[in-house]
Amino acid sequence: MSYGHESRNPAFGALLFLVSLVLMFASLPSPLAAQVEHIKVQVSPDTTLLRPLKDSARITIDVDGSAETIRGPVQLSVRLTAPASGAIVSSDFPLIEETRLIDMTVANVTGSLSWDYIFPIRGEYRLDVSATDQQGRRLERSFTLRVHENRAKVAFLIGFIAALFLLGLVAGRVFSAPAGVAAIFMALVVYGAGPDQGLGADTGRGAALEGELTVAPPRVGTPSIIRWRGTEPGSGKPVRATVTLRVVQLEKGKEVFALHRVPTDGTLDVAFQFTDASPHRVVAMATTRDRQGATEVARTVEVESATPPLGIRVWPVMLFLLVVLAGLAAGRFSKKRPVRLPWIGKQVKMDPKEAS
Amino acid sequence: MTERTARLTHEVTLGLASVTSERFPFVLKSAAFMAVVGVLLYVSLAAAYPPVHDAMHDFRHALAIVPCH
Repeated sequence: MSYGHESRNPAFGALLFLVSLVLMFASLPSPLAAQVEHIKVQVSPDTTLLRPLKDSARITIDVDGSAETIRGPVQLSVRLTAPASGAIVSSDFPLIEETRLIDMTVANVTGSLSWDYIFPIRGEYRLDVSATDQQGRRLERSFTLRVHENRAKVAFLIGFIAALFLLGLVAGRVFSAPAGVAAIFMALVVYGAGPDQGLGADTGRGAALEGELTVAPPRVGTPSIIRWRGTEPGSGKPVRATVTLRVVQLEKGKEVFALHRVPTDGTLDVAFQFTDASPHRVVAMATTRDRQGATEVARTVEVESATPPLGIRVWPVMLFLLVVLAGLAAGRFSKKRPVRLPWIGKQVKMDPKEAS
Repeated sequence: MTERTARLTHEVTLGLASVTSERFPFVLKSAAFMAVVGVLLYVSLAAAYPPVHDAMHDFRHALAIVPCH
C-alpha cells in the first residue's frame, strides 16, 4: 500500500517528521510565556473590610495565576497610586491624593510577590503591575482597590454636623426671643469659646554581609527612595541576598509597610511615600543562602509635612458654616411658625414679642 | 468691687443687652453669631499655626473631611 512520497523515501519522511515536531513544539506556549500571561492580585482581608490607617492588608501579586506553582524568575514593577479627591471635599490627607505611594521594581521574582500595607485614605487606589520575563516579553495590568472610610469617623462627622445644626437652631430660636435670653446666649458663645534634613546612611555590620540603608528626606506628598545595598565585607562586592523591608510608624507603633523576603542582586530600591508627618523607623533585614545569620540595618526618619493650600482647607469650614446657617434659619422659622396644640385643637401663633 | 468697676460692668451689660435685644434686627445678630462661629471653626479646623494644628490634629483627622496634611 502506497502512502505517497514519504513511503518511497524513508530519509525524507524522517526529516519531515522532525520538522513537523519542531514546528509543533514551537507553536506551543513556553512555560515562561505562560508565566506572564496572567497577573493576579489578591488583597487579604477583602478591601470591603479594610479601613484607612487602621487595618493592615496583605497584597499579593501572582504572576502566573497560581501562587502554588513556582516558575522561572520575572522582573516585577509595582506602582500604587492614591485615590483622587472627592467631588466636594477632600480626604484628611489632601497632599497625598493622586500621588505615587509605592513604586518598586523587583527582579528575580518567582511565582508571587507580597507585601503588607496600611492604606492611608479612603477611595479608589490604582495598582499598576508590569511583569517582564527573561526574554524581555512584558505584560502590564492595572487594578483598582476600593477602600471605604472608617465607620467611627463617619459617625463622628455626622454627630459633629448634628451638633452644629443644633447650635444654629438654638441660636435662631434665642435670637427671636426677648433680650435677656439672647444676651446670655451670646455671652456663652463668646466666653465659652475661650481661646530631617538630608539623611546619611546607616551601616549594619554582620557576619553574613554588610548592609547599607539610605532613606531620602521624607516629605508628605512625594515618595522617598529607600535604598538597601548588601556588600561582601572586605571586598565590597554586591551580594545576592533575600531582603525583608519594614516601615513602622513610631507614634502608634504600627507597621505601615512590610515587603517580605524579596530576592535581590545586592540592591533594593523602593520608592515609598510616608503619608504621616511623624517619626518612622525603616528596617531592612537581609539573609543569604551561602552565609549563616542575618544582617539588620535600621534608620529612624522624621517626616516633613506641609500645609494644604488655603482653598482646600477652607472648604470644610464653609460647609460647616452652611450647616450652622441652616440651623439658624430653622430656629427662626420654628419660632415664627403657628404651632398646633393637640390637646386644644387650635393653632397658636408663636411670636417673639408675644412670648416676651 | 469699686464703684468705677461696678459702673463699667453695668454699662457693658447694658450694651450687650441692647445689641441682643429684639429691637436689634435678627439678621445683624445672626451675622455676628456666624462671624464668631466662623472664626472658631477656622481656627480650630483650618489654621496652619503649629500649636493650634498640633492641639487639634486628632480632632481634624477624626472628622475625615478636614484637610490636615
